Amino acid sequence: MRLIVFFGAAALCFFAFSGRRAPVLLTYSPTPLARLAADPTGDMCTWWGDGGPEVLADPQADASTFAEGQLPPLRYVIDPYPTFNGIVLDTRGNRVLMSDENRKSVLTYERSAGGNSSAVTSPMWQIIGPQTEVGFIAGVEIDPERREIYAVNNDVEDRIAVFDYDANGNLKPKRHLYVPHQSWGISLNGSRGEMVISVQQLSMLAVYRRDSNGMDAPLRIVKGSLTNLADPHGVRWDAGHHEIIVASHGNSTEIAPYTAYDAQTSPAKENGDENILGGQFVPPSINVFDEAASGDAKPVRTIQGPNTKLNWPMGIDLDGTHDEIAVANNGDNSVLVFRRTAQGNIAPVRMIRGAKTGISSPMGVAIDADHNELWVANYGDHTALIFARDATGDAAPKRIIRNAPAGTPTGGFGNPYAVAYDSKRDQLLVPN
Amino acid sequence: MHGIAYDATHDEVVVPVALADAVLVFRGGADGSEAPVRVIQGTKTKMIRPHTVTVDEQNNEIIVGDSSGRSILVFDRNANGNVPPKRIIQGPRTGLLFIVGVAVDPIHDRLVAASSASVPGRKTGLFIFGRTDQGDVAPRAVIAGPKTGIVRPWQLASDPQQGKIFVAAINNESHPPYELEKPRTDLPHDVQLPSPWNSGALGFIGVWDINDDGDVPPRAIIRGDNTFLVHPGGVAIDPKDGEVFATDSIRNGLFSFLAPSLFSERSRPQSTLENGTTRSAR
Repeated sequence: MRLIVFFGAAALCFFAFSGRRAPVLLTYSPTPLARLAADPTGDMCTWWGDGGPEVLADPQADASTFAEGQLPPLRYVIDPYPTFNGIVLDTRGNRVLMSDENRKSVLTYERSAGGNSSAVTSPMWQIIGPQTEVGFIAGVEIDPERREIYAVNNDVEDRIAVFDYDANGNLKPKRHLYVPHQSWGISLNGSRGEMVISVQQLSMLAVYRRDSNGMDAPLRIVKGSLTNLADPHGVRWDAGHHEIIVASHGNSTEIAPYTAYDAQTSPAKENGDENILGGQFVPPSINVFDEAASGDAKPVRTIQGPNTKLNWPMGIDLDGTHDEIAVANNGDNSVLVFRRTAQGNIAPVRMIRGAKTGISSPMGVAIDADHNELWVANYGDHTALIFARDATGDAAPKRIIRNAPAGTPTGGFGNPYAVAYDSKRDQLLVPN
Repeated sequence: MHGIAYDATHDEVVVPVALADAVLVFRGGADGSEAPVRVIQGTKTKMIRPHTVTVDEQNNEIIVGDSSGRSILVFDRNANGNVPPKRIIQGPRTGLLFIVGVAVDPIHDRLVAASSASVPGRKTGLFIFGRTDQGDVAPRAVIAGPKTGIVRPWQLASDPQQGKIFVAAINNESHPPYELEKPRTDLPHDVQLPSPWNSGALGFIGVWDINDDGDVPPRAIIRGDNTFLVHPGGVAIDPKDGEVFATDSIRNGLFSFLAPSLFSERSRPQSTLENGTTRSAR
């Protein structure tokens, strides 16, 4: 029960903001969009003063007219800067790419970028804009051979957008592939010409041809009670050992069709209560599958249990040179490193964690064995951190990439679809 | 998570967890990795994909909208563990399909569900039931149709004192290419589904009366460029201070609107700005 409630709590990530602050008088920019991008206070909790657009319409006293109430917000919470999520390295091409969930973009930096400055690090390129089909983005992957970028949309958009290596700005993807709702991680295997994605709500892996597009179906899926998959996120294809490594949060269920396009009603009533399997919270895990696994396949190895310290494991990467795997341990503000062949309830061989590390809600991790570095993409701070590959404990990063000036807070929002008002504390609660 | 509710009477926060068929109840002010005080989860709950939630503080009930079950499940507020719901609204007569919002009005004895349908013969809108209705029952009223402006509703908020329902009409186009793990066979290979940037009708926050029925426009609306709202999915209210709150996933942000006239049955407070002037909706 303790585990259940612990992971129940871990599954909840809502943000509370004070409802009352002293107003700040702002100057309006010419357009609403420009206003959103410009925040002269440098503070995400921005208040509107007087002198702006007026209320154009009253609430209607009766239902006979449909008038628009162009009411400007009294205040808003918006983060105008990117927030890093997925990360992938191209050590030979000397670049690193990170997905940005907040601004809905993909940023490319030089591999040697960053330092100790408090200023924003300029990216080489940024894919962003209405043409890109990049939305609530999560995983990002590259194909150095074909010089392609793969961006996985996690929610709403249900597609992978593929771009040329040097894509920049507001441009259409060269192709897209529709994928199941809540796809998150992605990893390519060039030698097999395949890619694997993780799917959260289906607790599933799906393997596609690398050049799949449109409505192409997966070649095979891994899904079922034997898989031990439960809300999977980070995934990495270990081509050298013919294995697929995947990190799971531990939320487990078997859902039925649910969308507005599925005509069925009341599956439990029509088909009997046996269709309701009931959800559960299970300990987070790292599962390793044979790369050809299909169906309800058992993992060849599992890392799971309290000694592992896994807590909302997100992105995962493989260090083939040193035979290690690293995982961004989001719920514990840490990075865990395990032996590649580790299994069971086993402690990590190293853990980077502590105030000096600057790790804050990490989403992605990448290992650069060539340059002996380990990268962390922070979601809770506007940074990517570069550590020595074998850093351990409360170690400071070697250098930092910033997507906002140092000290800029993050909103923490991730596709916010609901809100509640806590009248006792005068706070707003927003679940992600 | 796509739902959340605050119970002011008992100072608790209630959230559905769709990916684990659970409803979690936290103490108000919970912070960090704090454990919930109660967990509703298990086969007896009849939850499949709990999407949205609200609390009836007056009648001590938690109301859950389940998008997979096409059902509204009512639990005792103190329910804990693998327990059955007190009542279920479910079945073809209900008209419910993709249930994304629920609200309760204990004064007018009504239960409201926001439901979307993109299949022939089904309605998208607000389905209003008696508060204690159960089984395969028809709604007492349905607010749906072109005059409503609702293309796709999402979260609801209730102001029982006024008999008003606040609706986040997210209105974005979302055509899922898969039915669970299977690509939809009715879509051509080269289909161009809406992207987040090509997002259909502009969303808004709309206000209806609990006694409204049919294809009727909202009695008040917050919409347009000046609001910054594109596709608002979340809505909450603070009647005491005359504020409406909205979240917008396109903006990835949270907005507050001062609109005391939307709470006209109450006193109309005015906010005092730093420059000494006052402001209220006009």
